[in-house]
Amino acid sequence: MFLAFAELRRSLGRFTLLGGAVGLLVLLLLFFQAVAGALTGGLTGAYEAGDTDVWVYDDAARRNPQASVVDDGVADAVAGVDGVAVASPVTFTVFDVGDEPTAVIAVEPDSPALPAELSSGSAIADSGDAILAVSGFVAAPPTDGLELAGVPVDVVGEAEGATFNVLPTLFTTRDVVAEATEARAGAPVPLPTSAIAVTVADGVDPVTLAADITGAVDGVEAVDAATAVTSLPGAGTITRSFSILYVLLYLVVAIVTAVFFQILTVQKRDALVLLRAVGARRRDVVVPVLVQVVMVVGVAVLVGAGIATGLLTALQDVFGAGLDPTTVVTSSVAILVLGLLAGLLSVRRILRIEPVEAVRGGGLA
Amino acid sequence: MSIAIRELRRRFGQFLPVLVAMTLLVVLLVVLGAFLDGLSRSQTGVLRAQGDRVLVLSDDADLAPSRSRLPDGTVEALAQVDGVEEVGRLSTVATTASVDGDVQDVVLVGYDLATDTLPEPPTSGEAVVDAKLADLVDVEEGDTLAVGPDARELTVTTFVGDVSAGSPTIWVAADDWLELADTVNPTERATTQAAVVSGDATPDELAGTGDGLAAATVDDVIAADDVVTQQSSTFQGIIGVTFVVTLLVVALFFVLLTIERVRLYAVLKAIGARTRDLVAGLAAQAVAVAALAVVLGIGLGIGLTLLVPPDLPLVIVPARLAVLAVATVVVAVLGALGTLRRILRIDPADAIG
Repeated sequence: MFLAFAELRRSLGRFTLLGGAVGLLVLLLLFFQAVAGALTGGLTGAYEAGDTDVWVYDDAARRNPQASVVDDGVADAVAGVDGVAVASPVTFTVFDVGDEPTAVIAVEPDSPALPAELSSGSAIADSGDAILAVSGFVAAPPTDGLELAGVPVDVVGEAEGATFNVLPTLFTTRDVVAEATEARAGAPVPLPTSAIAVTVADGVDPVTLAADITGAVDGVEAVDAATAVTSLPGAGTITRSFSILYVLLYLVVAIVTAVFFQILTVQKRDALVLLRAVGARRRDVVVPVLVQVVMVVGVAVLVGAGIATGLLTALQDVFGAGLDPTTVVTSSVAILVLGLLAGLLSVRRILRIEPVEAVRGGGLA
Repeated sequence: MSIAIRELRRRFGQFLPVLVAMTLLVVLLVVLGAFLDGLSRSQTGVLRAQGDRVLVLSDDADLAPSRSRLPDGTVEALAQVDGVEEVGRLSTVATTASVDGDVQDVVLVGYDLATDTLPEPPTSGEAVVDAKLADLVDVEEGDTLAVGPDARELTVTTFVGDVSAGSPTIWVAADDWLELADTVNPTERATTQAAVVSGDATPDELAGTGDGLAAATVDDVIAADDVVTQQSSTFQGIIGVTFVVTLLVVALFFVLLTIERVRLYAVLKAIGARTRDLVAGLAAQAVAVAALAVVLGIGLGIGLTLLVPPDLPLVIVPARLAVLAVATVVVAVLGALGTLRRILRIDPADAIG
């Protein structure tokens, strides 16, 4: 153990280089995770914030609420399926609020599609009440005198993170959105229903109920809430794209660490043979290597995570991304484990050293 | 120099670890570059297909074509401006298209003018289709697409490449678009979003045609897209950090290598080798290892991008690969030169103890 720390002190430069490389890779990894999380959250927040158990779409909409228009009467047909507690029509549309496009989700006042928890204010009680959702990536429009195509809307509550399609999002009542739609079109236009938000009765499995609804109601496809979130346009693509980058980064960390300790072990081979020859046990020469791996990679992880946190905090307005503590801990542990696994290659080489080599041939070179 | 290269050949195993690490870093750079170009190109295909024409939009749209709504009569007014050769309409709306029951997200585009990329607009009931759609579903020329919630049938006349707008695009005549867009989005009366103008008239002259108009080149409209510019700056930053990691890895390896060779370098200096010769040898080794890593990394990176599902936005651009290759070699040389101070300190007298 003493040897491990002594070597770290004496060869601080090269261990710092390794720590710097690993630290930067940790920074990249955490940065990717934060940006990916913020991007997917901005797309899917509205879905994840509600109490909906099953979403019902037009069967040609590819589970895309913006492309889905379900027929009048579907909500009643869905409500008639055994196991459905609530079936509530929802319309997804976009209006310009001020100068900014804003996602508008038209719901009934007690809809399960509404955010279950508010960060401030109160729930929708009357026609024209609205809940505004914003997230780090998405700037909030001014709420005073807010109008949809000239129709006034009263923002009574806010729900942090409940955004849809990376836009500021307004949840408001269907009658107001119908009036605004007519005002914008300049002609009587019926408000179409994009999807039906369903909650299940006690004890009913959402996946089973979704299959039952798809089978029982013509022209619709029902999916459980988790499937609906991953099916939203862009969400799956972002997750899979960033997954490729995560795998590459983990591989680079493992290989850089393995290469470094492997070379170090080769360079120290004579000294290790001598140590073994004068009585050091295998454990005595292996443990210092593992301690060094934990020290160097551990410090690199701490520094990388620290810089990532600082950077993301400083650039909150640009990226709107923050670090989830669980993600930081999971990624840090994964990198530490990978570092230890990479260090095992050196351990294997050390374990093959025979003390007798010290007195063979010309002895130690 | 020749000693360095001979050493590289004879003791290749010694350089293998850094070669593997650098190859993986090059793969990472290739994939990051492919995402950078893929994300940008996959979102801007409709605009880039307009070539060097000028786009006229409503000025409240902040140069975002999808938010623009042109006042009636704008296209006719633009046609009267001196220097204008052609004026056409350009509009988009997101929807879905089904091919034999296989449904995909698409962007329906209405247009009037052929370009170097686009053929003349198809006749009513027909569509020019983004080749990207053919990567995702089994569709060929002559097949029928069912577009939008009304499943309006369109026959595929031909495919064109590199015209995606986040999703694959389906191009129809501007008049057909107005009719189809009403069914896609019943909550809003379909309106022409942008005019595309060719000729010598400047954007300022075109914007002055009527109240509430803005005009800009295609490049300026793309540059005004916050999503595209933010994605680009994020990925460029990440690529920059990856180069710093590469620099550290190469520096680390050559520091270790130099420590191992201190005695040897002392002998070489004692028999007359100059520090410059030793440094040149190290640089030559760095260039050789980096060049090999670049070749392997680019090959593996391209292979990886071919293996990923076609809906992921990865595009290999040769110019990007060339920049990455040159930058990797330069960074490797800089990393290797990190040992310069250590080599300068070597005393030839060390050779005799």
